[in-house]
Amino acid sequence: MRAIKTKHSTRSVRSSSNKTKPSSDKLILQLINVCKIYQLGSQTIKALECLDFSITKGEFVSVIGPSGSGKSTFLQVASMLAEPSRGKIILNGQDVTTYNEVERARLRNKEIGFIFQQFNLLPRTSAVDNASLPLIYAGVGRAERERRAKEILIQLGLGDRLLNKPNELSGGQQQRVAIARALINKPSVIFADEPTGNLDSKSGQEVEKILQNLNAQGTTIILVTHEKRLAKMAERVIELKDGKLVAERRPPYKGW
Amino acid sequence: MNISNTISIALKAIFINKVRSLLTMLGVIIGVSSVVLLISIGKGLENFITQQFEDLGTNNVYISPGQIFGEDGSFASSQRGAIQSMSLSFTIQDVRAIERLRPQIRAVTFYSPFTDTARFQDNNKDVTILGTSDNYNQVLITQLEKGRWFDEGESKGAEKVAVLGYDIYQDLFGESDAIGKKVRIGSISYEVVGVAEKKGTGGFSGPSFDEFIYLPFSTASRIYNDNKIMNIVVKIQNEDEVESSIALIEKTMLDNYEEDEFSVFDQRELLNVITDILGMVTIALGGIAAISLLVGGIGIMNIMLVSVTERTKEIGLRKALGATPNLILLQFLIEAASLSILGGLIGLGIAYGGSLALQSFFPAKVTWDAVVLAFSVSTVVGLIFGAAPARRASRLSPIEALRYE
Repeated sequence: MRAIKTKHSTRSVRSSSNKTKPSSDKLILQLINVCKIYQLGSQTIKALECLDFSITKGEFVSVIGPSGSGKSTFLQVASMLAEPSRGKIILNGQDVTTYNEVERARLRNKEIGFIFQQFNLLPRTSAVDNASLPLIYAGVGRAERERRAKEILIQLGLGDRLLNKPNELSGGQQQRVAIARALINKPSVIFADEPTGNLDSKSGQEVEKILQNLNAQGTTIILVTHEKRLAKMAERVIELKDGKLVAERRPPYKGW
Repeated sequence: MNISNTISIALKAIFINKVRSLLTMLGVIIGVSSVVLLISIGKGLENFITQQFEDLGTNNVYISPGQIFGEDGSFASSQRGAIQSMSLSFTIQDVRAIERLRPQIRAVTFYSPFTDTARFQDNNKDVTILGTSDNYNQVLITQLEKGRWFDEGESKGAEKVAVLGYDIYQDLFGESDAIGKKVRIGSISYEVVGVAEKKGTGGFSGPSFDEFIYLPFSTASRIYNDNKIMNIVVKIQNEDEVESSIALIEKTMLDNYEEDEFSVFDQRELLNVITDILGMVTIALGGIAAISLLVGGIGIMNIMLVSVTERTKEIGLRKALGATPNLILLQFLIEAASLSILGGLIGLGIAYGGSLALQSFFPAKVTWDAVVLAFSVSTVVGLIFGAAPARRASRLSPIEALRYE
């Protein structure tokens, strides 16, 4: 993994990213005609309706929509946390729609990175142990886990916080530990669910810069948010409403 | 993901909540320590009694008045037997008749108890006197601390010689030499020819061998004007001849006595009855103590259910990051089992400490089978009562769990 620049040196990253980033048109994740229907008592809720979506390697896509638009369902289905009711999901050219629970868990472990609004760090557990959690389930030995966790945490500016527990870290630092955790197993796609939603604006901006840097270095990111301003840092914005894709925008986001 | 990782996750969860874990383990701690301690006491007692019998010499057959054993081999329960046996006794002719059964029989001894007061200088002591034969110490193995046992000549001549039990010797003579000294028993003066080695007891009731004074039977019967013999002990040549010898002795005795007027038994028979009773008492007490193990298991289940609910988010996160349901199941099962095993080990430690504390006045011994029992029972308790919470954890949906506040 190449060094991830943080803070001060990142101001110009966005403008330069389109040029330096390794370009590839390789489809990494495809959702084909995907539906998700919930049965809530006698009511049938169509959370996601016939959605077609694809993302290429190294792309940064935002999914935006008001609450109830289906963006959470989209995230769950696309990240293999939930099964689609209908349709097909292709990851790295492989049809993963029919995977069972165990196969999905292994797939998430290997191919998907998660960044949550609530950070979801294990309490009373050090930054290193939190960041290396996915490697436990990948069967990586302790020494190697710690080495890789330290490396990423240092790159994210947490070199002096390696052994601190979540309650000893600021919100921004906690989210950076969570980002380290998302990156540690070198996943194909990172899902960020309102990653700045629980942060003050300064920490929020730090996290934004980290995401931009990661993308600049080739990480594929799907950002789910309801904030237009945040969504705009992506190179493509998908808008959902009532479980349907209603708009797809690319920069410059004129008049939006 | 290997087992050691899962174990370390589980142990970490236990140590994070130290107080809660300790309280959860308390049921298992109490259960295991009481079961192990009770079994240890039972075993210790059994060993002690067996040892005492073995110290008396092997291949011994005992002839006692009255009926000691019932039809089923346990102690006779009728009061009649007990009262009857007090008025029954044997004679020197019976002893001679049994002696004639050689060569199977190596030696025969016999004795009768009397009570009197012994005195040396200013020291008085109420004592039990055993009037016995000159070969008593070879049949009912009795080593001598000092001096010798009275010999055949002294026995035949009904001489006034005595062998003192060790405690009697100490009470009368302190540490000074007793051999050759005269001790008064009742109004008669006896020469001390030997002091028996301390046999020791575990503090149980009943007469101790160390509190006896041994006199030649001829002497005692003349002085106390009583030639009834209370007990006859026969040493058999070989162990495999014990059974047949018992039958032979019974047949001989039946010439002069009714069937219910005497009992012939060897120490194994007596020992079997005693250990059977001890075993039953141990099992009954252990069983009662085991109930607390059940309560302990329920305590573990309760806390594990709380723990699963509390850690719903953690479970969801682990699943999202790649933990399979089986690994979550394993994690919580190991956590429950570790709690239980840890409790079992602490309980074992307490039982061990307790047995050491008891040892000075009670023969308790923690045996390996008690350790294995404690370990396996606490493991099983943990696994059984951890199963339901662990299953619940493994079935949580990662989405629901992550959303859980």
